[in-house]
Amino acid sequence: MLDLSNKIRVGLAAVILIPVLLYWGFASSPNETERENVSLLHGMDYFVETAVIKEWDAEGKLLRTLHTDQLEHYPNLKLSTLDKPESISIRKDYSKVKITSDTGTVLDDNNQTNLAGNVIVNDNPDSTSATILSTEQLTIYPNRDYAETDEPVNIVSSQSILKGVGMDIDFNTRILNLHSRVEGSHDNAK
Amino acid sequence: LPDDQNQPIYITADTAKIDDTTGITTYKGNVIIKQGSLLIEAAHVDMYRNDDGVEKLIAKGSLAHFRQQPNIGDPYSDAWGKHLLYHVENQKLTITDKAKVIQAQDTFTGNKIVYDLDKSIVNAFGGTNTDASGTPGRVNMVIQPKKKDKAN
Repeated sequence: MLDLSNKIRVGLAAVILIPVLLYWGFASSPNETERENVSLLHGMDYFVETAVIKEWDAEGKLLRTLHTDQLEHYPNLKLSTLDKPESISIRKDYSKVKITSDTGTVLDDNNQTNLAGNVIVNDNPDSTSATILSTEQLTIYPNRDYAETDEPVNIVSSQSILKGVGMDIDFNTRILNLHSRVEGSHDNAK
Repeated sequence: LPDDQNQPIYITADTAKIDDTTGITTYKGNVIIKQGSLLIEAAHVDMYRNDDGVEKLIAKGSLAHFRQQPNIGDPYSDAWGKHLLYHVENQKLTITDKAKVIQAQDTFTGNKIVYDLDKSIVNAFGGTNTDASGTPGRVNMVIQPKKKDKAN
């Protein structure tokens, strides 16, 4: 049992220490300001090198595969940047669309993908009658299988070359619209 | 020219709609099509493609215009109409609605004209719709007298 003098001594110690502990626990000392995590505010929180991202539908059918040399995620911007992305989508009739570019950005909600630099859309890459579309910028809406651009576009297929400025394409109905300044040539030699 | 149908087809237009499923490409707005000596000018052209290439062209306009030189040295033949169907394979041009053809100074008009480009034969049809006076459409031809050679 603690006799009286000890109790007094413990009480005194408590009286002295508690404020100090409280001060130390809650209050930050003058030179310790909360360091803003700058990299999170504008920067990335994670990156993946040589990333392969696959997307399946509800029945387990592979819809889309995305390869990219480097994926960097920016939480505050709610997007990821892609280096040298290559996307292969598989349509309902199992034909494919392959899209490559120098760079890209993907929104976190996957509603929109922006591609820039040497954008190549290869419709039916595995067949001899592939159609290759090239432009400098393309906005893709994966959930609608739809893409558009305001840039000049060049479309080459086995028998024709078409150019225009501004384009939109529905990958499912396979209807492409050229918005202006259309020039085309069709090889008709028998 | 006889070899026109094997030449590449060049097109300029304001807009284009390419339907890969049906193989139809629709050009709109100041459409100009050239294939060798052949020229088509229209507001709207539907181009039908098959595995062999361009199968046929349907040109529409307030008046769509078609021009071609039958043979080297021949004068150009011109055709106008609201609706032109140019069948590339069998080289036939079918003009309907205000059809008119001028071939070597001879003029043909009617409701429908079928022009055989290979043989330069014009078949003109009056058609059933009647004109203001109620008489069925008529075919009109103006055949220019051919100047006799001075020798005979």
